[in-house]
Formats: sequence, C-alpha cells, structure tokens
Amino acid sequence: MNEFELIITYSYRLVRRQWRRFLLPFFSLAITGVVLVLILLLTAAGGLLLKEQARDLEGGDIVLESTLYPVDGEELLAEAGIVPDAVSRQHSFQATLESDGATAPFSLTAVDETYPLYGKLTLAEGDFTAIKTSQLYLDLAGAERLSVQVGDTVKLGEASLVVAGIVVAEPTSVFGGFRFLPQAFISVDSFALSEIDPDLLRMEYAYAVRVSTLTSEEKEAVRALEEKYSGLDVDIAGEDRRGLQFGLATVSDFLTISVLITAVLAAVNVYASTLYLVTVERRSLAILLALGLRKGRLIYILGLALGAVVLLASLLSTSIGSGLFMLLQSYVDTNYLISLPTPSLLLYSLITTALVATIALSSFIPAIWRSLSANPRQILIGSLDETSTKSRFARVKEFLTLTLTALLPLTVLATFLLSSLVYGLLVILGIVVAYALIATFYGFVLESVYCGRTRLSFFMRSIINQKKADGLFGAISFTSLFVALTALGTLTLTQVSLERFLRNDLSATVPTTYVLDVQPSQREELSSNYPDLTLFSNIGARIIEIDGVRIQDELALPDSTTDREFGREFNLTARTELLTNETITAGKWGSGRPGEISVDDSFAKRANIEVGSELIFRIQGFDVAGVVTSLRSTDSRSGLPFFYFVLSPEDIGQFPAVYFGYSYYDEATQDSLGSYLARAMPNVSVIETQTVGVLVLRIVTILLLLVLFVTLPPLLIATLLIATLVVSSYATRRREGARLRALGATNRFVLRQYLAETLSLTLVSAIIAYALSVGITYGLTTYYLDLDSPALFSGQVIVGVLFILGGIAVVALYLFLTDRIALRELLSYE
Amino acid sequence: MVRNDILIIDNVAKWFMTPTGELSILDGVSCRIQAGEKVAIIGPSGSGKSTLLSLIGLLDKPSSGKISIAGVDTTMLNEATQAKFRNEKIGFIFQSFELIAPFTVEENITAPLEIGGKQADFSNLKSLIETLGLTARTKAMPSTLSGGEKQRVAIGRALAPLPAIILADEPTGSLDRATGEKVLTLLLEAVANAGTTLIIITHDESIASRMDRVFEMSDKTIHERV
Repeated sequence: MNEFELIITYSYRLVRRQWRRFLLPFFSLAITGVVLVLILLLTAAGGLLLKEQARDLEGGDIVLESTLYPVDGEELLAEAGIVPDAVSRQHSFQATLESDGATAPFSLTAVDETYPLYGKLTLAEGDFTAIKTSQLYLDLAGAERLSVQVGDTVKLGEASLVVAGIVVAEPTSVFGGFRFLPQAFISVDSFALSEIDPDLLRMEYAYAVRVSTLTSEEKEAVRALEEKYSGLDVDIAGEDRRGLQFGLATVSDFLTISVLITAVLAAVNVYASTLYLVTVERRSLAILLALGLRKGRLIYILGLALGAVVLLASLLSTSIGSGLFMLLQSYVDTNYLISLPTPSLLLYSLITTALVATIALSSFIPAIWRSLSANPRQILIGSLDETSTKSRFARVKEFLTLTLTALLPLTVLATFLLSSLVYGLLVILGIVVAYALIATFYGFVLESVYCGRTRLSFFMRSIINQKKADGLFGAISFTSLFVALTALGTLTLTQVSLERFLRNDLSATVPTTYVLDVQPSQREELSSNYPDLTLFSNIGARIIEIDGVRIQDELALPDSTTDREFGREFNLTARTELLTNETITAGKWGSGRPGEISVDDSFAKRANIEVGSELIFRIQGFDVAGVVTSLRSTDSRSGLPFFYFVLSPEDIGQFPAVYFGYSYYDEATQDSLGSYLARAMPNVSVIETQTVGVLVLRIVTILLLLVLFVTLPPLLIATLLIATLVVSSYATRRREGARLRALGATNRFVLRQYLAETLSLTLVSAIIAYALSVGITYGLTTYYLDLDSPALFSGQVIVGVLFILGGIAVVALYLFLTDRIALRELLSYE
Repeated sequence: MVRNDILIIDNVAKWFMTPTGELSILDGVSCRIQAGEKVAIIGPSGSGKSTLLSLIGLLDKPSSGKISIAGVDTTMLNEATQAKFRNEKIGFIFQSFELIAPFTVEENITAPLEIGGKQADFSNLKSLIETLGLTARTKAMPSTLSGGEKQRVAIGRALAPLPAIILADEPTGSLDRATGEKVLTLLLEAVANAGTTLIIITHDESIASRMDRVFEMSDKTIHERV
C-alpha cells in the first residue's frame, strides 16, 4: 500500500469505523446548513418582497406629494430630467361615508384610470380593471362597518356611490390593512360629485410615476425639487422609511440580526464539534506519525473524512432547506395572500455549501494544527493535555490563532449580510473582543478559584481541577456556551422589545373617540352639538430661531451639524391647561399670557432649549416669538394628544387652524356623532379606538409570527451547541470517572460530580450571558432598531435557561445511565 | 496451622457475549492467597490475567463462582458497597498509570483517602512521598512527569489508604528496564513495610522470581507453580 492508498483507505475506514463520532459534526453541519439556506432564502425573498412592496407602498418608483396644492408632476419631473413610463394622479383624504343604517370614517383615495401603477387591487369578486364614476370599492372592514355589500348604495356628501367590489388585497399594503381606518377607492369624478369643498379636507395630492431605471444623479435631481419647492415631498421607493415601511424595515433589520446570530452560533457549534472530533482521533493519528507518516499527510486523512461529512451534510441540508422554503412559500401564499418571491435556490444552496465548507475547513485547520503540534510519544503514552507543558505565550498564541481562524468565515458572512466590509469587520471584531474578554475572564476566575481550592471539599476540588485541566478546550466550551446563551438572551429580549414596540399597549386613559380635521368654520357648531368633545387647534409652523441662532440658515450651510429635523414643519397648539398625561419637568406651566411657550423635554434636550430660551416660529408667513416658561414630559401611551410646542391662545389664535378632538363617548353617542358628521361635516373623521385596537392587534400578531419564525432557528442551533458540549464533555469525563471509581468513588458520586460540573458551567455562563444580553439588547434596540423602550427583563429568558439546564441534566443523565461499558474496559481502552 | 486467607477465589468463571457467540475467558479458577503474601500471576497474552485481576479488584463481576476478600463475599455486594470496599481494601497500580490528569501528584496520592472521607495522616503521607522520591514533585501535574515518576505516584496512591491488597497490572510494563527495576524495588519495599498483600501480573520471570508464590494462567484457569 503506497502513501496515497494509505490516506484514502484510512480516511474511508475512519468514517466507517468512527461513524458515531462523525454523527455530531454531521448533524451540526446539516442543521447549520438547513438553517443557513432557509434563512438566506427567506432573507432574500423578504428583501425582494420588501423591495417590491416599497414600490407598492409608495405607489410608484417616485411619488411627489403635497398637502398644500395639487402636484404638477409633469413639469417638475421634466425639470429633474426624468421621463416617466407611466403616471397616476391621486388624492387622499379622510371622510365619513353613510349607508342606510350606519356611518363610518374612511380613508378615501380618489384615483385616475391608471391606478395602480404597481401591484393589483384584488377583489372578492375578481380582478379590478379601472374605476368608473359613481363606483366605490371598499375593504371588508369598511363593508362590515357600513353593513353593505356589492350593489348597495353609499353616500359621500352629495354623491351616491354604488359598491362595485370588496377589496381583498390592496397594492399599497403587504399585510392588507395596516391602516387605522377602513379604506375605500373612488374615481376623481365621483369626488367632484360629492360637492365636498376640498379646502375643508386635509387633502394629500400625489403624483406617482413608473420609471424603468433611476440613476443616482436622477435621484439627486428629484430630491433637489424637495428643497426647491416648499410643501413638496419627494418619495423614492425603497429609500424612505415612513409608517408601515418603517415597520417592515424594522422587521427586515431584525431578520438580518437573527441571521448573523444564527451564523455565529452555527460556526461555534461546528468549531466545537470539529475540534472534539479531531481531539478524540489524535491518538490513532499519532500512531501513524510514530510509524513514519509525515505530519502534513494527516491533513489529507482528516480533510478527506471531514470533506465527505461536509458534502453529505450540505447536500442533505440544502435539499431540506429548499424544501422547507417552498413549503413556507406555499403556506404564506395560501394564508396571507402574499406571494413570496423565489430567489435562486441553486445560488443560495451553493452559497450555503460554500459557507458550511468554509466554516468546517477553518474549524478543521486549527484542530489539525493542534494535533500536529503534539508530541506523538506524549500522545501515545496517554498525556493528552500537552498544552499544560507549553509556555503561557504559546498558549495565548494558540488560543488567538484558533479563535481568529474560526471567525474568518464569519467575517465573510457578516460582510455578505451587512453588504459592507467595514460593518462586517466591526461586527466580527466585536465578537472577537467579546470572545477574548470572556475567555480571559473565565481564565482569571478559574485561576483564582484553583489557587484557593485547598480550602474546598474533594468534590468541589475535583470539579475545579477538571476545569483547570480542560485548558483551551474548557475555555472554548465555556465561551461557546456563553455566546449561545448570550445570543438566546439577546434574541429573546429583542423580541420582547419589538413586541412591546409593536403592541404599544394603550392605557385606560385612552379616549374612546377621536375627531380629526375639524375646520375653524365647523368648530363652534360641533362644540355646541357635542360639548364633551375637547378640541385642540393644530397649526403648522417652522422654527426660525432658538436663542438667537437662525435655525433655517444654519441648516442651509453646507457643513451644517444642526439636526435636520429642526427644519421640518411642527404642529403647534394653544391651550391654557396641562393635560393629565403631561408632567412639568422644569419651569412653570404658563397662565396663557402671550409669549409663553411650553416645550416637550426630550425635544428640548436635543435642541439645547432651556427654560428662558427665546424661540421664534414662522406661522403662515408671520413670525411669532416667545420665551420658554416650562418643559414637559408626556406619557405617549395615554392616547391623549401630543405636541412638541404649546403656545398661548393669544399668540396663535389669530391664525386659521384645523382642530383635533377627543372624548370618552359611549357607543350610542359615537353612532349619533358619526351620523351627524356624515350628513353635516363629511370631511371630519371619527375614529373609534375599539375598532383601531383590533386592527393594530391583527398587524402585531402577523409581525410577531414572523419574528417568532426567525427566532426559532437560532434557538435550535444554540440548543444543539449545548447538547454538543455536554456530549463531548461526557466523552472526556468518563475515563476520569472510571479512575475515580477504581479508587472507590461510587457511580453516584461520579454522576453528581459530572452533573454539577456541567450545570455549574451553564449556570455561571447564563448569569453573565444574561447581563451581557441586556447590554447588547439595549444598544441594539435603542441605536439600531430605534425602539423607545427596550426590554431589559424577560421571564422567557429565565424559563429558557431553566429549560436548558433541565435539558442538559436530562442529556447528561441519559448518557450516564445508558453507558454500558464496563469499568474494566474503560480503564483498559480509549 | 491456621490459614489467614485474605483472598479466596472459588471456581470463578468469566465469559462475554460476542456477535459470534459466547467467549469464555476464565473457567474454574480457584486459589487462596494469604495476607502479606507477594504473588505473581504470569501467563501468555490473552490468557485472562488482567480479567482475573479486574474480578479481584471488583472492576468487573464474575459470570459464576465466588471471590472473597478479607472474609467478605464480594460477588454479593451492590455497587455502592463495592465502591466502599474497593476504597478501603484494594489498591490498584495500572500499567498505563491511570493517574487523574487534573490532579497534582499530592492530590492523586491522597485521592483514595478523600474519596473514602478519611483524614490523611500527614506524617505517614510525608514519609510515603519521601520513600517514593516524590518530595520535590508534589505540586506537579501528571502530564509533566516521566513514566517512572508516574508509576511511583500510582504506587503511592495505591498504598496511601493502607489497603489489604494491592493489585498491580504489569506495573513496569511501560518503563525501561532500569526504571522498572527501581520502581519494583520501591513497590516491594513499600508493600513489605505496610504488610500489604501484593498480587502482580507480569510477563517478566525475573519479577515473578522475587515473589513468594507464582501462579500461571493457561487453558482459562490458574495453576500454582511449585
């Protein structure tokens, strides 16, 4: 047998003879592969979907909008040098519709015949073609609110509209109803028939266009229009995060985080498994060395064996992963009417295979390196922990080399997922630093305990000695466990934070009824008929000056560092009473005298506004000045109106404003108010919070299902990692256990020691990991996901850790109790 | 003359189930060994020497027959009692040392005492460590020891709890001749000082010749060489 044949034969027999030892790396790689391909496919599909939905949500590739005037899009786009392929003119407003027996506020969109530019309006009765005069399409929630069906008549102002169809899926929303109000569509002509004065409505004019390509220069040119024309908003599909789009983008970000955490866990898992495999095989390989085989040839032997495992695992995992994706695709299509796009299965299978292979390879290299650095004689006579004979420097160097090599593929993955080498490197650098810190911390604590072990019982000393002797493998195990638990904690806390953000549960002070868009001319009449309505003026203004600093001028500077938000239009209100959801944090609430201003304290902090600061606003062309007399904090969950600035009625009462109101009406009064507004003031919308609550919960439930789905794979991987560590730990402990038993220790003693050793490691890891998870979650949710109130405690994490501890105990007990190898054999053979 | 038998092996058999059927290793093994005797068991490889030692040392159970140590029928003991008995009455010296890797030399030597919950007699322990020439190595880890040192630690560990019997499975098998000779001399001296019974498995006739009695294993059974 020549050397080549020896390598092939040994590799083949290694896999055949030691197939049980390959099972763990095989399953680790296979599950890693399944999760990777599934998540990569889902992320890619989600990305494609979001990209398409962004166009749908915007209504076009570019949408020019104004709440002040109808948009002359043709001229504006020509100025930006853009020639659209198709255009659609729309205007949206809120108004009350009335059927024979009911009224309801609606979000109405008057559209032209080209609507929609993207997607399709799916009707219960079939496909939508184009809207005709006197036709009304409304969603199911709206039809139920008005108790109407196709063919019934509904009134909008003076117009009688026939229900032509029930909207099942609308092109503007992936989740079919991310709106507080039911939605309805009419033609532009139908709106004219209603005879509602557009000036009474809070109208949003839109000019949407479809363009085949959009260069960055064109984007810049169209964005410049926004700067040039006051009151004009320019939205480019996929680039502006607003409303639902922001929610979707948040979920998308969460998906990316999950993928990265999963990848980290997967890599650690494969690393631990591979290291374990090579470690247990080192003795046999050392014999080959002793027989004269060159050290370099060991790479081929193990490489071939691992290569076969990687190939099999990749084939299996990509097949299962792709199958699961298709099943999921079908499920989502059937249940949510969302057609998830299919990314290239072959491409992502190949990417997954490459990633799995790279991860295995880079785990294999340090492992074989460790084998090669060992002295064959030492290995053959049974001294496996040869690392203890190395210098401290050599051990640190070895640890760093192993860690860095193992994290190399992660850098590739992070770069791939984050689409940035810098971010990829930063994320991985963060992981390396965390890894090094944890390992150092572990080493320091262990060394301290080891030095003071003489005062402890034999039981405790045995555990401490064992941990000390584990050396590098122990540090890696602890750190891996720690990483897994940190990932679990971070995911759970992030999920809770997101849930809290999405649910934003409303407190008992939430009014039952809101009225929107009451015009000044309607205010007195409405107040006299419904005196319990509390109305607030709402008037748009820009900040001109803060303590002598001209804000708009500062913003115009090319190197301006001023917060761009200060340049936007703010809603001001005037009132003399502090609301129940407000608390004065500085100064004194004003008495309504001219020139008094109260400012929201969080905004004040950002803008360096203090009590005594002088502010100048520009309201409808006039400057209004005042001095800040108080800072306020507002409980945003109260459901009561929120304004950054409250001024004196004497200062802004002279300007025409729209009014917003709320009240705590019962159902009968709400019905009466709805009927009255539908007849007398169709431009005013009534919102009933019970109805809104149902819609919000529906949306939240769908999003949380999505979040739960992407959280499960990391949980699976982390659990597998822990199982891997327990199993490998047992394999190395059974011989030590046998030696103790030969000296008179009982089986129970050895079991107790093994359980205590394994569980204590998990418990200590869990406590530190939880603390770190809290920190990471805080940073992640505050600075990356922009959530207001990150969750820093979760009962789920505690239950999860207890569950894992229980699981570890069960696995350890199973291994111990099913171990049938006689004591004599354990002491005779490896 | 009243015999003071520390070990009585009575018609012991041991067989294993293999995929091809029953594999008999020992059959009808009987012998008696007195307290304080030094006994060698010799025989060709595969004759069942180590299996017999495992049965005497309660590391395994005979398929049939009876083994009594210090008047106790060890085949009737449960696992916990066996462990206690092993701790108090038996000391092991393995060919491959079987030191507990994470323990220092001193911890390895005192391990049986600690497991048995006994307080170590420090003067005895110190004397033992001195006798074995390990005074300078008490804090060393097994991985840093030479083969001879490891086996001296194993001897110390076997002797520390003052057992009734020491079972040594080719104690010099992993050592070179000179080191092996030193280790054996130390072992015999230590055993003589403690008055402990020694049962040693060996291939080496020169070692066997230094024992009080020699048993030969062949045809699955044991015969005393006269």
